[in-house]
Amino acid sequence: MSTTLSLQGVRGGVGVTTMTAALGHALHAQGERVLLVEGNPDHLLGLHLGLPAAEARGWARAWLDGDDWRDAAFEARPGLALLPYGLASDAEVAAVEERLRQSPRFWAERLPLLAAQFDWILFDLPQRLDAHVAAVNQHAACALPLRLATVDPGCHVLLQRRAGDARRVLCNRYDPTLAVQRDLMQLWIDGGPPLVPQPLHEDASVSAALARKLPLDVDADGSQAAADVASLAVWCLAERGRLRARQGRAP
Amino acid sequence: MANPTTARLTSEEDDIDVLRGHLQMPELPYVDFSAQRARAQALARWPLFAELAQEPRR
Repeated sequence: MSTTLSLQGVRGGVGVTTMTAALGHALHAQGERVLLVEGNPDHLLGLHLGLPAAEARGWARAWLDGDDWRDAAFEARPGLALLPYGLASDAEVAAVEERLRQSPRFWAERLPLLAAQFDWILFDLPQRLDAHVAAVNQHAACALPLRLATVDPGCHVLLQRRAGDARRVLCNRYDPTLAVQRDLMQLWIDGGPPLVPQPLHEDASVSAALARKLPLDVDADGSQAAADVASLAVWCLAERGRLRARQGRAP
Repeated sequence: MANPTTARLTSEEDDIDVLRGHLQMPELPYVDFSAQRARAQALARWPLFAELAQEPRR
């Protein structure tokens, strides 16, 4: 039985793809079997798992071309697999969005086929494609839907505008040496959105790892960011245990 | 969906929760003055945050 987790940015550019890949590697390092699914048409997730930049295949590409989505999966190493989005033009992405609106159970029907092979299925979700997001978070009943925010005034405003969103917020690029970030974190802890207890700290080694095409925990082992992501993976394992315990208690 | 209150519970609040249970006084009031002061200082430093704090939540 696999656990589904999704990450969506509170706004663009907060590091969703990078952190999805880093969390996937960190869960895999804990001995978990992980599938990363790219729900984001940017088609960048594969670079974090060593795919060539020119690789065009992916589940959305296959869907558009009438091919089998399973042929678009890649194994990065035993127990760590990737299903990229695939290269698609803006018009094609709009077509996939429309198809997902027509077939909102696209992932709900496919995830059970993968549940026996993976302990975790991680989705990297886009900003503004509602049907892409709903197919995972609502229709596939994602167990751990998370939002990713940087600790800045823009995210603060957006979080406040969406105060009814019950998803937990994971903080990225937190720099506690900056007064504005310290103060914001205080406001978020005290009466802000529900938070994931482990923030990810600002660390230049994150973008360097991508440029070297190495996983964060290999390229920057011992860095603050790698330690934060490893702690986040342990929190995810504990959260899965709590979810299962709650399901066990449910009538 | 996960229970949001669990994530918000600081270790201090957790201690207070244990105390409430131990004394069998679930309504025992607890005010975190240091957090309140830090919040007030944060709002005083940054006009945008103060402005948002006055808005009703949508």
